[in-house]
Amino acid sequence: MDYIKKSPWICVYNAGSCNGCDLEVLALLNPKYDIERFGCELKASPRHADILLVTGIGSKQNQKRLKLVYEQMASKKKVIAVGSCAISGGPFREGWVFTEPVDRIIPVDMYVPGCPPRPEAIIDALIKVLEELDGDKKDKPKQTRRRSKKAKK
Amino acid sequence: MTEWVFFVAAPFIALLLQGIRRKLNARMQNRIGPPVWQPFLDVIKLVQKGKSDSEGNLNFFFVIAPIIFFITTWVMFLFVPFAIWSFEFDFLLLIYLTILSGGLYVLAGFASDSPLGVHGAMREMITMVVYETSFTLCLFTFIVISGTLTLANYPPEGLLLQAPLAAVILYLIGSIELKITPFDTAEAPTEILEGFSTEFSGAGLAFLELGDAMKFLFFCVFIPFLLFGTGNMWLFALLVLLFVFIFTFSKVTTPRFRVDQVVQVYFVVLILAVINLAWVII
Ligand code: SF4
Repeated sequence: MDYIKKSPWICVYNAGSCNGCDLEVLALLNPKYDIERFGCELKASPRHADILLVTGIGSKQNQKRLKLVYEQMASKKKVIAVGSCAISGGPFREGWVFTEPVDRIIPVDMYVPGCPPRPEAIIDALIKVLEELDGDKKDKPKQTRRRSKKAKK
Repeated sequence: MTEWVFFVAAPFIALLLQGIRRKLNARMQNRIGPPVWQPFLDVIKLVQKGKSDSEGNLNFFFVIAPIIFFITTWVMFLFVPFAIWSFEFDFLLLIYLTILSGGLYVLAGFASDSPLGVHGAMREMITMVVYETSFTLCLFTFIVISGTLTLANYPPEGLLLQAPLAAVILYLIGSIELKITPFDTAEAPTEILEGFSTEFSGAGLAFLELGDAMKFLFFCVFIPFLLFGTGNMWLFALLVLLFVFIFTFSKVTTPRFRVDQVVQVYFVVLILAVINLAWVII
């Protein structure tokens, strides 16, 4: 059993975002969304974290640092690209700071579109990433069974 | 028998208290919060996950400091609240152990060789000079009143009435040692990324977290032990929970002191401790 699923620690990296996405990520901690109930904690240091949330376009200045932050995380790490900036450059696509999207700099496991995405969407991405951690084959039949039961009801 | 059970179970009780603390914290902020056994899962995960490849891993002290920190903190439970191991002058040894566990934490910060860790360690070193002195002075008042240096002979009804000022000082020092706001300047997650533990990962971080949890348990046990005694076990357990509540309440409701303010505050505590000791002796 993989205990990362039970206590995923999160680190946020702002790779040149407009701060809109960062505020939505912070909203995950407030009483309404409260991701701490899944055991998540927002950690300041990437060495403690299991999941990296990247916001922003990954500008020229940020590329080297983003790679460094990714390398500093311990093995079994997952990356979520939050916001349309991180996926494609978003509204800054034409700007001179934009060079390439985040998934060309570091491997990305999950994308959350939106400008900014809603906190519910980020939580959904988190849970899907955690499901991936457990190895794909074991859990899938269980899930389909559960779903079919519900469908019958 | 009870003593040994408590001693062996101390890490588990500490983690459980940590879970209760996080749950309380969440409820005070009107959140649901993690389950009570969350700290156990965190520690298991950290051990299971393994280290990140930091250059610090090559440093001997970086590897060994969290483990000694954990063991030192555990050994303190040999004396408090039940004197399992008792000899003359063990009160002094206990004072020494509390200072040592603080010092090892600083060593872990310096060994991590990262600017953030070193920064946290330096902040802690500067302030340690003041608050450990006040802590020692404060404990001396209890030694003077009870007239014993052996913890086994400590009066079981507590000494709150003879030294009411010491209660305030002990509470302040407890929150300073445990790095609870408003005194968590040395850790300051939002300024220097928790200082000491920034570079740690895997089992090292797990030991640091465990040691922290046990230090929290130690102070929650030690303060009621000094003030109210262990005469009535149920009352004692209730008081331990009360202190968990008070510390959590302080953590949730207060902001942090700036670095330059914090030394002044510690000097006020030191002066209080001196007044307290002088008052008791005279
Ligand atoms: S996706 Fe939108 S809100 Fe998020 S960083 Fe980009 S511009 Fe800002």
